[in-house]
Amino acid sequence: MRHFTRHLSHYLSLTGLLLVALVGLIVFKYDPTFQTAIVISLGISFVIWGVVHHWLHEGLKIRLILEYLGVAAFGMAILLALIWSV
Amino acid sequence: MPTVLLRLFFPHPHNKHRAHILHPLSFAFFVSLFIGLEFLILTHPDVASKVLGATANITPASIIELTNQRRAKEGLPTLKEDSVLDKAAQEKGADMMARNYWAHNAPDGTTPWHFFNEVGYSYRYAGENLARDFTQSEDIVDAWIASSSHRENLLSQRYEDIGVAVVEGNLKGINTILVVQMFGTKLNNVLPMVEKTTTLRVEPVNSLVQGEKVQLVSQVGGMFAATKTLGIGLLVFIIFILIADIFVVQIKRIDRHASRSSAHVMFLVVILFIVLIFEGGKIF
Repeated sequence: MRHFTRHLSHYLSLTGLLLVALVGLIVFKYDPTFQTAIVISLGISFVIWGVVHHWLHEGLKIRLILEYLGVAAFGMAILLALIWSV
Repeated sequence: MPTVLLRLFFPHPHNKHRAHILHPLSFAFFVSLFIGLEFLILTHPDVASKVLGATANITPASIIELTNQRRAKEGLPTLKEDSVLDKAAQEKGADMMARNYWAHNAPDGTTPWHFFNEVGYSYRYAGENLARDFTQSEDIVDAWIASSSHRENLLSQRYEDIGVAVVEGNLKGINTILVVQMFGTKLNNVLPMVEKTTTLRVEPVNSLVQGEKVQLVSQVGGMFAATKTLGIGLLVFIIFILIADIFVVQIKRIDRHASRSSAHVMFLVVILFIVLIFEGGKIF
């Protein structure tokens, strides 16, 4: 909890980013091309968020970037498969 | 608990306080696993649809009723079902199945208006909405309403008649359900019904007209349901492991240099929410 309050601005920006993507995907519910663009932007933004967050606070290591990349790729793969399976 | 499992699922001194399953290589494995299973779903759509039973509950009557309900809400007159337009919609659906396309215009440039003329519906105004791979009539009408061009057709004051066909058949190798909605207003001097002569080889398709009830099965719907179930399963599993990681690190006051599990949970919970609310089906 202390971690959250200490990095409140970072988590607020992450929340904003996720909400924008969520709203975008709902608004463009029947536009797979736009949805794909939103999902890719979401994945890239999440990795950039992680990089900036660690770079500002604890120092950045390649392993950390890979962890964010892994999670982003996992989430993106599921959403893209769903968008293009119909 | 055996150390192997501890190392795999929970932060532990033996895994440098980061569960092996949360390592970048594990995520690469999960992505590969998901892609591999997706490949299996795509190559075996019949299995997916049998396992998850994507049956559709769509009838022309319900589409017409829902369309008129939407029009009534906007204070627009009710559209009359026209059996000739129903026939035109069926012809269009059968043509798409036979010639393997899903579009307003056929690959050879045949327009939707060709089907109006073919059944002898001489129109002053005409329009067409298409949908595929939905399982509920309500979702189709909602999707059309959400799209400005389809909404324009659906809520146009210029139309008086409506015809709908629900067609099941094999489109590009996959069992698919197509919905064709045709709107029109007749010219006063209606042309006589023309005998239809066509050289097209029309594959047998399961076509619904007013009043009929047939069990429709969409393989695309089955594939969608399989992808959704697989995605939800993997997401819930990873989110659970991440939440366990957060708790163990918090309780044991572990100081480590790793990516933020809380950020991953936020990201994946949003993904899970999107997957849960995501609906199948396309409109054109």
